[in-house]
Amino acid sequence: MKIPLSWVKEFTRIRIDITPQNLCELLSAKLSEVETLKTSKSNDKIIEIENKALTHRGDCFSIEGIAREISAITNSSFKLPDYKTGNIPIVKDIQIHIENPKDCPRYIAVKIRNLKVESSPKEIQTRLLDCGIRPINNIVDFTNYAMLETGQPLHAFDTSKLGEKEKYRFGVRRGKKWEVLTTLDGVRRPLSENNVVITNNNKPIAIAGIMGGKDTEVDEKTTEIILEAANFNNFVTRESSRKLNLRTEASGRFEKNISPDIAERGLGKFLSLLNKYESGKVAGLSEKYVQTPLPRTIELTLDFINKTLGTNLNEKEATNILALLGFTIKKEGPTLTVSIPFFRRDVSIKEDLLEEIARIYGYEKIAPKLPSKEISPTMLDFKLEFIRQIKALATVLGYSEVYNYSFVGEELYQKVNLRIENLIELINPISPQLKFMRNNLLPNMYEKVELNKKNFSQFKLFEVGKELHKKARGLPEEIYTLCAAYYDANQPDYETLYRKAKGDMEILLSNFINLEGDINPIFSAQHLIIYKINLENLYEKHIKYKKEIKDVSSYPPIIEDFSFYVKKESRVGDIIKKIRNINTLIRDIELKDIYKEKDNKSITLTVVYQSPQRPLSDKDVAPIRKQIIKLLEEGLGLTVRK
Amino acid sequence: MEKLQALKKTFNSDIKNTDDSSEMLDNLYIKYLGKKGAINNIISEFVKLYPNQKKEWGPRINTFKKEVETALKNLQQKTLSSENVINSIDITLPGIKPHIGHTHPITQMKHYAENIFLTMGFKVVDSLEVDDDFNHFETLNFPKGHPARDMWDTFWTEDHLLPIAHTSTMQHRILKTHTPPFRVIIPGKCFRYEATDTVHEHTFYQIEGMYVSKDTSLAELIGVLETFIYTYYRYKIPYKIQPTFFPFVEPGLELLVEHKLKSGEKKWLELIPAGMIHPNVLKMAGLDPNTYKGFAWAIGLDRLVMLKYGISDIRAFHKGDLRFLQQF
Repeated sequence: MKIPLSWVKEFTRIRIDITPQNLCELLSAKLSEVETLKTSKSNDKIIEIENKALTHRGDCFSIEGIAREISAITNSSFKLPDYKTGNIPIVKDIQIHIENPKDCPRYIAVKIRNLKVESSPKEIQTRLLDCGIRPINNIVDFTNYAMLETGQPLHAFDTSKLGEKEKYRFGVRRGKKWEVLTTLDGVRRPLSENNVVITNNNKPIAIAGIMGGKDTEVDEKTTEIILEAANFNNFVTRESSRKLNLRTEASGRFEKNISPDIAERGLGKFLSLLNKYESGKVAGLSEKYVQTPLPRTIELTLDFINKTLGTNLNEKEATNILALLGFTIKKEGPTLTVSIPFFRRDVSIKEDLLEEIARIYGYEKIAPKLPSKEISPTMLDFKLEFIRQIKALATVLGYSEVYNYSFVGEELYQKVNLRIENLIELINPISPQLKFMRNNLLPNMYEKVELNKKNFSQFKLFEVGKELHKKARGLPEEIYTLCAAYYDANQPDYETLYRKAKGDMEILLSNFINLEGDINPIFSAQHLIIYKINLENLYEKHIKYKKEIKDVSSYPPIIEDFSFYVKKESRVGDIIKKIRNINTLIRDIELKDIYKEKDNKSITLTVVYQSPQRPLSDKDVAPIRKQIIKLLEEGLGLTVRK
Repeated sequence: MEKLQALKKTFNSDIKNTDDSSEMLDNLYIKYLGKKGAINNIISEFVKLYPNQKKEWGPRINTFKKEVETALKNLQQKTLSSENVINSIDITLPGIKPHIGHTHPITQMKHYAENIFLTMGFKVVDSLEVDDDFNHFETLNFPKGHPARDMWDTFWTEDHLLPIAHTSTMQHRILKTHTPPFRVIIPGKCFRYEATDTVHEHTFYQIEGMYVSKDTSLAELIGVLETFIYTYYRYKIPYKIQPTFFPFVEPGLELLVEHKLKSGEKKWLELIPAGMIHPNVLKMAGLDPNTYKGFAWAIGLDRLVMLKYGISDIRAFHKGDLRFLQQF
């Protein structure tokens, strides 16, 4: 929002020692961030202020409102002109019918005659341009000028374009599905139940609170208008504007819940301009106003203020701030009864007043302190600690962590032969590639491998992320999952590549659980193995797992190698398991060597015998050795190379 | 046994002539102390001697053996001395690097931030990735159709759920399941409907924080945030606080820190949106706002990482390029 400083100064006398730069700093600290301070062509200072922090402050989308804030912030005098609209005669020829007062609590229609449509005076044009609004003609410019100053959007209909003269039947109702209205910007807009429309003889002539219709637009031939000063519901206007994808200066203001009482000020300002520049004459008005009572007072105490802010304000400091902002305060005992001015629709509870006091007093004046409550010792949650450990170990094993979007598309899934089935679907995705929420970490991982292949011949990647599984009802199941990729284009032997990747996973898993049985990858391609581990399951096992640390035996081990042939299709892992089960004195078995011949594999196993209690001699080992050979020869039908 | 005399002489000259290389040392070992070395050779002759001769020559052979051993050991030490080793190699050759993995910079930042809050007594609670309107908006004082919802450009699923747009989505659950006083932080992955470019990303990471007790204050909120930024930056970084608006806090504010640009120019950066928990949020969770007060805030992890390393393209975080990731 752009604010010409000269305009503000019409309502408040800013202390002379406050430079525009000082003022910007104060506004940032006490109202909303000032984005820029520029000097316009007309040599005015233009302050551009961020709207975000004012989302709830409908009253601040006006020069009057900002001037009030500035007067409070700088402790300067503040005065608004009075507009008297009470003496305008009521005309009978404009009927107003409001279908639902919730959509439109107030509608004022004013007939204005003897208009001279021309360019507006230079000072009006300059102000509009400084605020970023294009001047059109005096009537339109006056409506915009009055809106910028008071915050009340206005709209003018050319009565010559409203059909039968002197019999205007204005209505405010919801749009109908088959209705279409061409708006001022020349766009044909299909209407719906979501739009509130202004009608004349039941025919839409404007989209309420957003934009008028082209057919009733004011042009250079216009001599008579009906001026609308109305109030439309903030929720309804927002929904209507969203559905049409049309945001305007007017809709932006109505969305922020401006007071119906502002309508009078907006109208008053317009008429004063009309009068000042002798551009037309008021014939009379017609009005419908359904007032909804709002809680208008709040009770609070100085003690509450100081305790909640952590300050040490005296009563005068606190009440002065509120008074400068337009609140009135009555005191009874320790209770302060604060009356809310009509324009502050955002204030309804005592905490709202706290904010007013805190920001104007100055956050920088509040002395920081730490919570005084006892701290109980905290440790990272066991599961989060477990995930940290998984990540730490993965990196020790040489895996680098990647982050992925949770959004996926069909194309990506197809690359790893997965189908989009039962995935959570977005109704407003950014692109078709990001249309679903993933139930599998594999596709993203595959994509990252493909990307890095271009620059590296060997690498390892991992991700810890959530797989989302859709439920028939309620929230999806979120499964923490580890996905790890091992890529090595320099390794010609696939079985070796496989064993290396598997070895990594074995080390990783055996750190957390008693690893039993085989672990299998979920994806393999040339030079590539990808593993996936359900961390929820792993964690369940992990918390039950008690790691047993064996004493290191001080007695020397006996180590010997067994070399033998097995059929090509034999499973060496199974053989090792069987040997291990022969005797507890077998501490370790390692695959020392493996090479493939035509139909056989030549295997060398290193067997380590060791006892924790005593030194072993050949007497101990000989029968075990015999059993191993027997097992290898008989049980497995292998040939032991002697 | 004259051989022993001769051997002593040869050994002395061998020692003198050695070039301190490890090969030479190995050769001397083999020559004198090896299985078929000169000393064993003498011993094999020694066993054939008469007992009285043995008495005479035994100690002499032993002494010589010890001399050789000591001399060779000294020599070995000299050979191994760093000066010598470094003199013999090209120390400018690049190191042979082990292959190590790297955690993602956002993970590192998350752990760092979590650790700071852990030391301040905050418990870490994980966030959901997908939530419902009730937790995400309604319980946070955004009635249906409230214009403030526009500030959160959310995605929606066909079942009217949403990938969370803020970690505040966990606030209601935390309030319902914890008894004040409590302090909690909630890290999470968040999503907003936003086209990506160098500074915008539809997926980002936050850490939410909450503190609720009977008698907390805005001063304590500022105290906690100040402690965090002072610890994070490891110096008393200048900061300021500005008002802002979020429906679930009242008063609502934003902490900005002074950031030095490469040009030396200083700029205020919005770092932590925060505020006192809105009474309606407490009420919805069954807590009486006249008895309990609380404060909450959120920190953007992506932002912290980008500031720390001067990263200019936010998209690098999800691209997965090892050339980027290996630097952390």
